[in-house]
Amino acid sequence: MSANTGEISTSVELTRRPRRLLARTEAVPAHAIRRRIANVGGAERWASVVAGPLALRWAARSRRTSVPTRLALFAVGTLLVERGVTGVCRLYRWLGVDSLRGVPHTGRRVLEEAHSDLVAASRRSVERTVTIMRPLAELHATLRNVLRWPMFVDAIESVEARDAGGAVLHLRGADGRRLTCVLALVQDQPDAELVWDVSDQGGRRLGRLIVALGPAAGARGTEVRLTAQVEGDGDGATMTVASWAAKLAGEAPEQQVRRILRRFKQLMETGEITTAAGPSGTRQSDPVLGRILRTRTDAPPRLPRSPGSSQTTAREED
Amino acid sequence: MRALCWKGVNELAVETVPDPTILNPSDAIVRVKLSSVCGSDLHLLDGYMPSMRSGDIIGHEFMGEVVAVGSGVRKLKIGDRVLVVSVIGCGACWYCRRGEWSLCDNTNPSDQAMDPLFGQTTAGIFGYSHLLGGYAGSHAEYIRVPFAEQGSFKIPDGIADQAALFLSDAVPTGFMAADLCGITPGDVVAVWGCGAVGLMAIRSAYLLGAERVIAIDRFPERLRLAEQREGAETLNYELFDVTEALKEMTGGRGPDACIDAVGMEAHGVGLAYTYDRIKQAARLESDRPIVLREAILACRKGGTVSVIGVYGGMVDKIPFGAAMNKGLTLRMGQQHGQKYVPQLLERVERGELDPSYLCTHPMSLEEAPRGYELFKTKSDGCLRAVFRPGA
Repeated sequence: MSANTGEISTSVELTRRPRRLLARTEAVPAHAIRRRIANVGGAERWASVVAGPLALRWAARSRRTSVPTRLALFAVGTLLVERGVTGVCRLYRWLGVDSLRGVPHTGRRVLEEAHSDLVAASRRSVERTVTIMRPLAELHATLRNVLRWPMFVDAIESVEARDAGGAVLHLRGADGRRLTCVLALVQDQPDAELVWDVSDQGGRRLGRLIVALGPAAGARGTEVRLTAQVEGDGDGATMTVASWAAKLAGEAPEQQVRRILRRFKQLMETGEITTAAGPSGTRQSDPVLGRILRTRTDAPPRLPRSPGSSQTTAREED
Repeated sequence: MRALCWKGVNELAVETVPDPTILNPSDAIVRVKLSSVCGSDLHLLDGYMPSMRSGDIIGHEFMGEVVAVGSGVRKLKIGDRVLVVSVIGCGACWYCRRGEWSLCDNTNPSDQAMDPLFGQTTAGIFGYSHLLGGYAGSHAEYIRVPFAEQGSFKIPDGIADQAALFLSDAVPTGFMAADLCGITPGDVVAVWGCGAVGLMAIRSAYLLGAERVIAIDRFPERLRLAEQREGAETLNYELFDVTEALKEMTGGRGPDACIDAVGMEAHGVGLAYTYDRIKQAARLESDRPIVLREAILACRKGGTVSVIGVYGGMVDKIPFGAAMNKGLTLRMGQQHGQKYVPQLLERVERGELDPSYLCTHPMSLEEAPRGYELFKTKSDGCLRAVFRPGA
């Protein structure tokens, strides 16, 4: 992390008003910030510098120790050296531990704490941006009409419109779990921003959906940023495990948000959702990469069926 | 229908698979009359292109007859004889509108895989791995063509199937290679690789105004074609040091433009080639950039290196200091076929180019695995094996 003045002022400003700035398409999104925040204190850091090489030496020299143990020692030694040299402990970050907490601030640490707020914020919010070659007003109008969402959000099973831009969404995840949520449009700046509060049927607040729109430079259409904020803090370890699992399944929140935006772009630019579904020969067991790649790309699209859309599926005539 | 499926590294089989159907309004179904092998298929066959899955139908250079169209297709009708560009472009995104069809934003559904690898996602390509969309390929009796109006071109009556076929991929790829060179009258162009794309690049360089074209390969029959059919001077890299020879052949300057029509599985001689073979076999680099290195070193100061041979991932030991200090222009990309095909059809009609001789081995689809074997080993003078699935 380079500590130039410009970066400090940006970070501080972002921390002070994260919600407002996160919605703007030109703001740096929190997930793009490098997560290298020192979390290991002085004496402990020195201890790591000494202990790491000892562990490595043990791994290299001890012939009576089994190979798996030596490999584990090698990994531990490497991590100890890393946390000693950099002051960043991966395990601590994973567990949410910070042995520097409460230590008087110095310049670098101030910057890092500013980042740490952003990192915490990014755990609760996912945002992605896409550029769409269509006029801003058209995109705004389509997004504001929740009845059109099922055309590009494939998790939506059905929508019921409510007054003043609100809606009830019936969702179904890839794992088959169902969820019903109530959306209330709380902000509608024409041609700039749409904000929905999301709650469950009992009225408990679940989070917030923010759509920010802005013209793209060079007449390339419109930039659309979708931000999904979730209420409450997740603790580091469970969040990490959950997000790894979700990523492998292609269902991590950031992947879902990106997928929604890509499908929205395809629909608005071409009038259809791209699919590679098609015939193939008999499949043998797939390599791991193939499994990740299989995520959803094989599913045929649901064709747009909204009021005013007359596109239909034609079958092959032989 | 019958289709040629990739079953694993160097393993192909002709299988019976379900027929394609129309899924989107812009789709068409084409009955494939001719479908050709392509050098880039060898990267799939050899396992150097990630994300292939057993059962995938390969093939991307084809022509045929429209047998069904989606509700949104207006410009094509059933019975039209068409060639289809191997790269799929939507025609609506910013890139397609600029004519950069292979950079299309919307036709590759595999963005989750490609974004982390390449930073952005490029266009989908028929039958060319799940990284490039996972579309079923053309070595089959029928194929679904998404965005059919953009990628399919009606073939004028005067052009035979066999000539039109190569306008799907080899000809526009070769033409784009020459186009990227920004050739001005009097230029000397060097072309590495005398396969179908290289031969078309030679012809295109002449059409665009090059004064001399020097072709580099190691197979005598391919060098003969480059010399006799396309009028190039030739250089066998097994017999000559290419950079040294090119320098001397161009009065000590080096060629004004260098075209890499070989890509990631280049062959070479000497220690550098052994180094790349070992690194690639150990998966420490994915591509062998032998031609790219030579082209950068051989090119004249301020010249252009045009890369049209396919690369898939990481390369090693690129003389970038030479490229920077010599002020080279590096240009590259998958072909923007939709942009070039209309003028290429005209050029074929006028007799300026005739790619039909590239089809050296026509055969039935059932013989396809043998066709790939011939093509891969370049035996029997095989330039392109062409299958007739719909015959």
